[in-house]
Amino acid sequence: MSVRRTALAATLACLAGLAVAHSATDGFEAFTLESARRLQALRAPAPVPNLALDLADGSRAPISEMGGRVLLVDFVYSNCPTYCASLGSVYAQLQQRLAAEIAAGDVRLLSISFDPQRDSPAELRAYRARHGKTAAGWELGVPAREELGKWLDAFGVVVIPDGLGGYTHNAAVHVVGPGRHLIAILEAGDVDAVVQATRDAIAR
Amino acid sequence: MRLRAEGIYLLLWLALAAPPLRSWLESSMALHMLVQLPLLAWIGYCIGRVWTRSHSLGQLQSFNAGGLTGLLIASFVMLLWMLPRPLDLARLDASIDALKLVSVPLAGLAVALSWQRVPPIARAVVHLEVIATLLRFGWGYLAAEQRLCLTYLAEDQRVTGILLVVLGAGYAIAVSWKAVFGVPIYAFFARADDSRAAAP
Repeated sequence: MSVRRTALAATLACLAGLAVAHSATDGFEAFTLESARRLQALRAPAPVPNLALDLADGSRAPISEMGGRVLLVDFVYSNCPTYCASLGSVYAQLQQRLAAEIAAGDVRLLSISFDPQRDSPAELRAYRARHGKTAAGWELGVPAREELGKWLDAFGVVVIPDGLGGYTHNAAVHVVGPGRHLIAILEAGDVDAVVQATRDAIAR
Repeated sequence: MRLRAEGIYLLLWLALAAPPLRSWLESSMALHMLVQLPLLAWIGYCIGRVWTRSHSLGQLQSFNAGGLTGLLIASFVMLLWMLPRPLDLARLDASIDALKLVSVPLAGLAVALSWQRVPPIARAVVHLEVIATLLRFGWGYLAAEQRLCLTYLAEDQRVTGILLVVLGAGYAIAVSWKAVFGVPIYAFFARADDSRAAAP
């Protein structure tokens, strides 16, 4: 009696455990939050909310007015000595590699600062000038303080203090395609893949 | 007497669940995985021990021959909360954290209801699996080239990896000590203390 009951209960426990593990890892594919958001962008692209930014030229505009069929979004803070500096140079490379698409109005680059306390439009312009030769096709903006959380949530970006007065975050290039859908999240270091994904998104 | 013991464990649980201690223990990955999770499980285990001593739990235990069901449930719960994604979510989402605060003590409770029923050879298998899991997770966190938890720094992840490996090794020594010498490892230290106390 007890053996039969236990066999049944143990089987149910196994099935329930596997079901929970399956759903908690998107079918055993995403064991980290980062892989989960990347998988989500590929499998079920969701539109990002039409939030506004204070732009580098001092104006204020919602994301829908950034122009371009495809928007490449990254998150930075201008005070960053290490990783965002490399993000800046990645964006300068993208600016050159995608020059034709930018000129045709198909692509815009957008760097969003998650440090509204320190990053004014002037700081953003200085950040761009440090990396890019021109401003062509590369917009920068900073959210209002009370909207920063919404921006980060919309893209699944998590920012934590690095213990040295700066920040650490899950840096990546976010491809926002037609209809403001977040269709891919790519490794920032892999410029070739970003260029390819951008061209694919334009051709869609 | 019994009620008092359960009350103390409940108070401990409340202290762990209350914001000051909870957010401090979750502020670091090492504290989260190696202090908060074991403490929560331990509280559940202690409550389970009190229950098994005072109740026969016959009806419930008829579904738990050899402690199999309880150990399976506990394994799934503990394994899940050691993964980077649930760890992150527990920190970012209060409702997921609440799920953790409830499910981990239940895992400890399940172990307490099961362990006495597990045959010796199966116990050895469980010990081996615990050692392997600690080493596997420790190695995984150490070998990862990137941060696996978005809410914790790379250095925190490295320290957690090292501590998991050390814990796995310590657990292995403690378990083999008993197997080899026939007495638990703490008896060795207790005896050493006794001899020192007895010395003139």
